[in-house]
Amino acid sequence: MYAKTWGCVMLGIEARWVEIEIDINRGLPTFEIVGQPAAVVKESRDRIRSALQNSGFEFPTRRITVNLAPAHFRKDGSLLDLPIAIGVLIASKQLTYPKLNQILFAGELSLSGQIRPVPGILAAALLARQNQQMFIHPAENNGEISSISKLTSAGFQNLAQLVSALLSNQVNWIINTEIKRSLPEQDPWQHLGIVGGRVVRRCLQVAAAGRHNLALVGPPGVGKTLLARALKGMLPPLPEEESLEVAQIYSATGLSVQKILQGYPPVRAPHHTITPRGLVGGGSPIRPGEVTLAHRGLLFLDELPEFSKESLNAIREPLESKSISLHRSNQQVIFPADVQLVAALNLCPCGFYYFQPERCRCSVRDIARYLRPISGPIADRIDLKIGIAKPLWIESEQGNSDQFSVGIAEARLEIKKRRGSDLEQRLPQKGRQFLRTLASQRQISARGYFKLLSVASTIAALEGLEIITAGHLAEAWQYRWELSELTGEGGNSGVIS
Amino acid sequence: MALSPELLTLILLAELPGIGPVRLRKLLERYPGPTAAWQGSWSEWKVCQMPFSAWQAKQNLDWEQQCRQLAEELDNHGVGVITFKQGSYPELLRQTATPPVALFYQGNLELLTKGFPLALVGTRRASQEGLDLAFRFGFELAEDGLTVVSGLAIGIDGSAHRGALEAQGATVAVLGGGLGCIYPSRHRNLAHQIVEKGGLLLSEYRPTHPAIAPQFKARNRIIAGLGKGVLVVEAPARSGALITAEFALNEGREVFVLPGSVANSNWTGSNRLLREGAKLVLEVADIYEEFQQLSLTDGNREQISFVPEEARLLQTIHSSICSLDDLPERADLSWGETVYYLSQLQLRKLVVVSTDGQVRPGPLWSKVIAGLQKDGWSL
Repeated sequence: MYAKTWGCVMLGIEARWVEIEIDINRGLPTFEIVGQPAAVVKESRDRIRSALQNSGFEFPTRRITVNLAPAHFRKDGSLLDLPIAIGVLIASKQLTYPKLNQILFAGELSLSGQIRPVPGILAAALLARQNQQMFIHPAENNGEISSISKLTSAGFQNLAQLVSALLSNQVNWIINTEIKRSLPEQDPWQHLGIVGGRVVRRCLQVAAAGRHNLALVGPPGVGKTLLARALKGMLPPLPEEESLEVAQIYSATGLSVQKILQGYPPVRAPHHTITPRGLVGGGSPIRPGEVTLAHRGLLFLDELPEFSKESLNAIREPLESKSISLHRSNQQVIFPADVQLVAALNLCPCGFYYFQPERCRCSVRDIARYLRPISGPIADRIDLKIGIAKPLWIESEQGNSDQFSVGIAEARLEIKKRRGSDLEQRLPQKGRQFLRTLASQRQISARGYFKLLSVASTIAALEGLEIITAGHLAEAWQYRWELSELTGEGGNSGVIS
Repeated sequence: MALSPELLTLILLAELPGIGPVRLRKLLERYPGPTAAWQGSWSEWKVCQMPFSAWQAKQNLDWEQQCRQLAEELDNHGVGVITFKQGSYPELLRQTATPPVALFYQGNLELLTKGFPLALVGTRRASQEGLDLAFRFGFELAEDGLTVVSGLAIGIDGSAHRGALEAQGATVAVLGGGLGCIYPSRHRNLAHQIVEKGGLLLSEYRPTHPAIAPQFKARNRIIAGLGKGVLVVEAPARSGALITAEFALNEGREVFVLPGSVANSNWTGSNRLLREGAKLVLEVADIYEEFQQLSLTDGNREQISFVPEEARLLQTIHSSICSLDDLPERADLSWGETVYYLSQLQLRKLVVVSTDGQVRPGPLWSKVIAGLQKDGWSL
């Protein structure tokens, strides 16, 4: 007596299908699971036995062998409880269903026969959709599943209900066609009660539109963190495909996906004591880190220089390649990590250097040491900076009327449309002239050159223009980030170190 | 470069513990040359009041090996050396109380004997304002053909050197350590540029000698000694710049000071110098007044002009320092025009936009006034 069902397990943030074979034969009563089951999967034997008996089924007192194929990778997680239990019922002839091959089961069983929710259910659902299978899942995960379009699914509270529905062929399949997503419309500035001058608002608008990495620089207490929150409020909702992508990550990590599915971009703000592993992911089983959880959204690093050198080095690669590949003993996973980095920092340990120099008591060496971890490659990957000298709730004389938080979504479409175009081709003569002057007078690295162009193209996109003018370049240049300039050693004052 | 054993021995003698420039000269007076002095017995050294430790240290050294090592070191780092007996040794420095016996150098040695040297010093913990002023005065002095002498330190010193380089003028940096280990390391690039662009690096110490704190005071005496005067830009109450000024006073050189606010402790030292009678300087012409051999050379300054938008921005900035947020309204320009023309002015180093968004007069501001007046813009 042999049966076969389909399930899946999580590997990183992705679900991998598992074919479950169940064989019930004569012999001493045993229940064996083979095919590299992890501890959780081995324990499922006891849950399944009790769940079957407490749901009014008979647990066969014979020799039961379960094989998890393919056998070459280790299966971890409790998603396999349900498909194994169903397989046992079929193999012991307590259940028959004609289209078993077309169903992917995922769920954990409690001893009473309840089907419990599991992390990673979104990934499993996406796998089912990809394999064009129907998906049976815990009822408690209905909310998440309902956000996936074109998926045939059904959620069940407990095993008895599921089996009776299958037996009578009266499964209430649901197919989602259109997904409703909504983001509340509000002015983040007003909402947070901050004002901010024209430059601050404009710079945030550019950052939001072009997803440029941003540094917020200022003494303690001026509202750097508030600005990061304002930026969060200015981000347009994620397109459906992207929010599913993010939700899958959140689901696999066991975090709430509700807001993500509504279209909110993810925002992660890890504390500066975080380890490199916490930041980029790792462990066993491999879990995604903060850069992956902030995929398609914001990674806010408050007090950037306080992060350990190792942590900062670890995010260099993902900032560049927009993904991170991890190798651990026998597995390799690639996590997505397309983040917009927002960093807040002081320029010295006490925080007053540059902005209120008379209050700062740090030595030149203190300052150099403080900024060293970010001076090289991290600083190089930041496109924009906002310097904030006075608190943001103090109104500037003019310049608060500009509606700089509108038009971001439109600009993003504009940018998307031109993705891959040669930026240099879009420069008119005057723009080239300006760049040449800039390059001859200042030492601009190749990366700096292209960063400037890319920020300028975002500014152009905000105006709906394809051509990048000298004015756009000039504005981009006003927002540029150069650490050497901030430490008083050159840069803007015409002094190059 | 051929180095005579006499020269090498002189350097070795100068490096002995307890022997400074004064004692060394006393020793050399007794012997025909440095090599003879090296071979002198303890009784002879004792007559010259040399410390025993120095003689002992010398006895423990292998002269031949030391000379070879020193010659190699100079060769490796591309460093030359001059002694106070040579004609290329700066006369002004020779006249001081304790001129260094030997000077190690890299770059254009002619700067020591030609031109009009002026020292420009200030604090290492400089404000942006101070940095801008140092740059501006460095620029203007160098543009007028003076040689800007400073100490390559972080802050005012570095800014002064950069200003002089910007004007494609002459500048001399006197270091507190060997030329092979530039201190501060942040200014390695600047040091390189100075040599590259016809400037000069000087040090009293052999190339591999590390920079340690007490040497900086000794270095200041060289800076003061090289210049016909010292311009103090920004000095708090306890600043190395004040030590340099004191050395200059003791040698009878002029001390010039840029005044600062009474309320700003970063200028306390500068203001005290003024109270004690130093010459107050508002522009470079104030410095030239004290030297008859310098004529006012305003005429050869490069003249600049502006487009109307730039002039409007400059007028606005001239009337008061304001933030970039407010600039468009004040100058009656659009946001786009403002950033474009402002960038042009920034590139010309006429104005500065600081990180906190303040728009201020830049290092070369003095040109702005002249330029605006020339074209008939009201101020």
